[in-house]
Amino acid sequence: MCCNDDMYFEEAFHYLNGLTIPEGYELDVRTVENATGMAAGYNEVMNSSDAKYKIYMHQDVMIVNKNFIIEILQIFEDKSIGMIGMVGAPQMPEDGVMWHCSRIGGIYTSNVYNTNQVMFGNPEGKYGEVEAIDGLLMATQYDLFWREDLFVGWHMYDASQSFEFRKNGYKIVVPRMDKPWVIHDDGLKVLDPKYYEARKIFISQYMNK
Amino acid sequence: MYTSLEEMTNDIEKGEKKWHEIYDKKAKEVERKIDCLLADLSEQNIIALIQLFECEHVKTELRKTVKIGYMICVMSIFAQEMNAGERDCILSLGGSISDFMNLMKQVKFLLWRIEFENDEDAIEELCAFAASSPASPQFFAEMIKYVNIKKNHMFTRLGKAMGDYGLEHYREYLIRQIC
Repeated sequence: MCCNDDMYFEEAFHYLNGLTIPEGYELDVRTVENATGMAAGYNEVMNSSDAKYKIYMHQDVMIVNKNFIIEILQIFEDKSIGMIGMVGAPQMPEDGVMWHCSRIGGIYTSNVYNTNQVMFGNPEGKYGEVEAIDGLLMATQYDLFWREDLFVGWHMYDASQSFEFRKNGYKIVVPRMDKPWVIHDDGLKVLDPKYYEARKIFISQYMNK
Repeated sequence: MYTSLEEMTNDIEKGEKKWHEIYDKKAKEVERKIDCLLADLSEQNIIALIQLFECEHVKTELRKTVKIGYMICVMSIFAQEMNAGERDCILSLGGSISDFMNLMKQVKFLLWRIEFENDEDAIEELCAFAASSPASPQFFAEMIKYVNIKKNHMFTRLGKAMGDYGLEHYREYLIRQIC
């Protein structure tokens, strides 16, 4: 986790500590403070750990499915799957904006004024393949360099990493879920101009080829 | 009518850039003003706060920002407390925007622990907080509405717990929220 808020981190950590950890595995929670950007922060923490399975998540995500680890390990038994997310786009739209197309997966999403259960749709089988997943939570079983050379801030690192995994021959999937596995306390935002700068870099790097 | 998604997105970008040009500075000014008024809660300053949150640009545009969003919730709770003739009032619970954000986050987290983990300690903590602070029944009811998915379940659960804790006034109010 890239962290700048102790209250959020402690709450996210509370839920991580409550997860059922299968025999032979251990939980190692690592944070990056003062990261210059998400990709840079994730590279730092990725390189600091020899864990095979890594979960990159926002500090404002609470994993409420106690069997989360068990369930993602089952999916990762398929070694062609590189990354798992909670929400994803089966087909990335031409403008690179994930919420401008249909998605699968689900979350409990909270802004300041209300909290809702949002189920975008379920795949047919145990999981569904997507082109990109949302950065709120990204679980991997392989290490790939996060493109901090291209994405210096807090945007498009998720779509970029999804495309990097696919470029390297791995699948990206979203599990089938009866109800969401996580709360995302997303807050409110009017997107800042840096999002749109990153979007254009993403399109030139991945979509116009 | 757009001919492509890219065209639509470029248009959205222009709109949001303009929004930031107009409202980023205004948001900071309003936040500074709120903090000044909260730091000295005279009757005059409370009236000034109420009037500030009645401004159109606060209600429609600045509500899209996190800090002012939280304070809109605070002022909404305050209005309900005043209408109900409550002795206790949310404005006594903090002296700055940051205080109120931290308070509401703490309560939010406890309400989620109750809803998603059936956490008895979290219930106990909320009841103790109600008993020992100026947090009103309206505060807890509105927090449930902002934060929880199964609201009626939470009104019942927390209402019963408050009653068991000897907080009958809170129990009655929460149970009345069930719809």
